[in-house]
Amino acid sequence: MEYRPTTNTVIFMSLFLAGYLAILLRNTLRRSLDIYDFFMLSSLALVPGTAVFAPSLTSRLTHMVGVEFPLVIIFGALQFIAFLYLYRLVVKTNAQARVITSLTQEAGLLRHELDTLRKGAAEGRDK
Amino acid sequence: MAEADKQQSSVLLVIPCFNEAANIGGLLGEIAALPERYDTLVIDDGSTDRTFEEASQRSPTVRLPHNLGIGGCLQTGLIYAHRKGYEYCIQVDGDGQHPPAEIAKLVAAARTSGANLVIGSRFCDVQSFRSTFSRRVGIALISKTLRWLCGQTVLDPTSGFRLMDRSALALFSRDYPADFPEPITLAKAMTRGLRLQEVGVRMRERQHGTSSIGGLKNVAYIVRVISYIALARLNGGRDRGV
Repeated sequence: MEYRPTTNTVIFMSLFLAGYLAILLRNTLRRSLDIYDFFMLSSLALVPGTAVFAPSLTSRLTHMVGVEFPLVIIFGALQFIAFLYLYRLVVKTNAQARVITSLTQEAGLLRHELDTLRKGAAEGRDK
Repeated sequence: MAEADKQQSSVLLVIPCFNEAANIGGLLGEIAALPERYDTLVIDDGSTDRTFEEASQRSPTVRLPHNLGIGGCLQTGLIYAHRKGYEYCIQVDGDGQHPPAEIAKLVAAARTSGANLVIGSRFCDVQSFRSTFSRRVGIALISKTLRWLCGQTVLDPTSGFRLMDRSALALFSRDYPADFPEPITLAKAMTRGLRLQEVGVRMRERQHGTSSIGGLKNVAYIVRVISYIALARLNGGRDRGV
């Protein structure tokens, strides 16, 4: 099925692309996001944007994959990217959890060591 | 305190605690009254009650700034024991379920058999406190899984009353499961070639407070533990340099 976006769709998509990418870019410049986050999150606008601004490419892809509606391609691509992003977040979160556990353990042990040394020094002074 | 008394014992009792202010004083008193001399280290896992104050009056106590759960809490003690060069480290739960009088059995078993990990068992030739029926079913399932996947029978795989020697300390001070550590560590130990032994011990019911596992949590616990054991088995070929 040949996909033809309406003028309203193009206008809405343009506004969404500009606004959303501007917010992402601002947060990336402020280092709230790293460049990987920027690319992954921008796909939320870029994937449907590609469908709107390059309808012939979307139609060819739809035909190639063998689905009837371009929307399936768009949502499929977005889901795949979201899954990849989620996967990376889970791996990073687990790594951070291990680091936090290790730091918490070391902080507790160090504090204990310092308290023991202080107590020893105080006992030495008393003698 | 006499100078001789200050010398480090070869055995460290690691006592993980979370909100055990009502139990910890009595437990440390019992340990102090034993004829054998053991070093103790209480790990206060970010308690919100007076656990740290109660424990630190009677024993060296590490206070973790945040609650890590039983795995992270106990591993802190294992790291300490490994760094300080203790020959044996024994986990004694802060809730009073593990009678200090039974500690000598674990030490004697390790010295006699040379086992790397000695488990104090409720189901091994000693008439001890038994948990609920559903728990016993869960324990039996975990035991069968260990037998099937790792090739060794452990009658009480969820017992936290256990002794580790230097080899076990080397392994578990750097790699200790965060959740449900008791059965999972057994799988890790078996797949890495450590020698295990079970010794019958008497155990008590909790003196105060309630257990965190019960009801539907039991089912989730068993499913997760069995999955972790399978993972440990699959991962067994790696990291054998203990």
